[in-house]
Amino acid sequence: MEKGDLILIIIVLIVIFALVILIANIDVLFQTPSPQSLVK
Amino acid sequence: MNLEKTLVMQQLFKAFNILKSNMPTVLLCFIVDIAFLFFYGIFTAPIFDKISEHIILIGNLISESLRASRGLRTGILNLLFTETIKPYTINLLILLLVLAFAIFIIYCIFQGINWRMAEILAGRKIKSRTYFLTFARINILWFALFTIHYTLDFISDFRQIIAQRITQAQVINIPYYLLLIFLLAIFYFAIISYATFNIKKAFKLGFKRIKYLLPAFLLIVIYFLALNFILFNIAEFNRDVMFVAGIILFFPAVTLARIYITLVVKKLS
Repeated sequence: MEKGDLILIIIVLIVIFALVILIANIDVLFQTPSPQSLVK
Repeated sequence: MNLEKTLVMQQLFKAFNILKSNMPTVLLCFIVDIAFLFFYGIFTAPIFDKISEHIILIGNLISESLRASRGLRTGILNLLFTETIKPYTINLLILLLVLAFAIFIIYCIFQGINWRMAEILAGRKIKSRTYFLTFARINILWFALFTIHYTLDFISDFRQIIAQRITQAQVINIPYYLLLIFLLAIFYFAIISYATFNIKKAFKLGFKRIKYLLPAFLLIVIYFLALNFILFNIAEFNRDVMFVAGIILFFPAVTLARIYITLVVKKLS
């Protein structure tokens, strides 16, 4: 395996890792108010 | 005309023979395709959930604003960017971008692996790194065009529903058929570009050799449409049989289609 291949694999793994973290915390990052709080 | 001797059919038989004599690689392609669907579901389901949550919320807030405005005419686009709704609209746009990015990454990894295997089976050798980088670069254009199609399709459906509500009658959705042709054109040039490895070449070949490439493409499309019809009818009486038949008839056919298109394009270029 060449050095360039290894770098590409590492970059892809980092991107996937970032996506996993983002998706795991999607409820915290994109909060919506509860339906009850919208009723006035 | 002897159909068997045409380029389109000759390459199909050749693809069949390659498929038959390379069963372990075909099995590997099958596993990668299943993995693609699995990871697609895992990565996109939470984003889709969040998107629908935001759409429902924005819809509720818009109807509330319309009720509060009491007949005052305000455009929906303006309402989307009012102080109360704006943060959710921005969140929705970010979520759509995240969704597109997640699909792009998963697609490039898994479909890249499978197209590469098809290339190898068709007797072409390209360095892995060059292959994956070019595959990702080519797909940027197809993803952009597909996103445009998706957006236009959504607008056309929305327009259709509104028109039907106003006229209280069935309205012919002409944009739908135009968009279907647009989608087929995207698929046609996309699969050619996966084999030519160059978008410019793909357009050139796609137009110049349409008499060979279009029948090959239509053969694939018709097979999958027929398969869809068969599976839909099987599902009417037994879902398990449909599932098994789907696996047997769908996945090897996808691999065959990849090898077939690669062979046809290789022969023509």
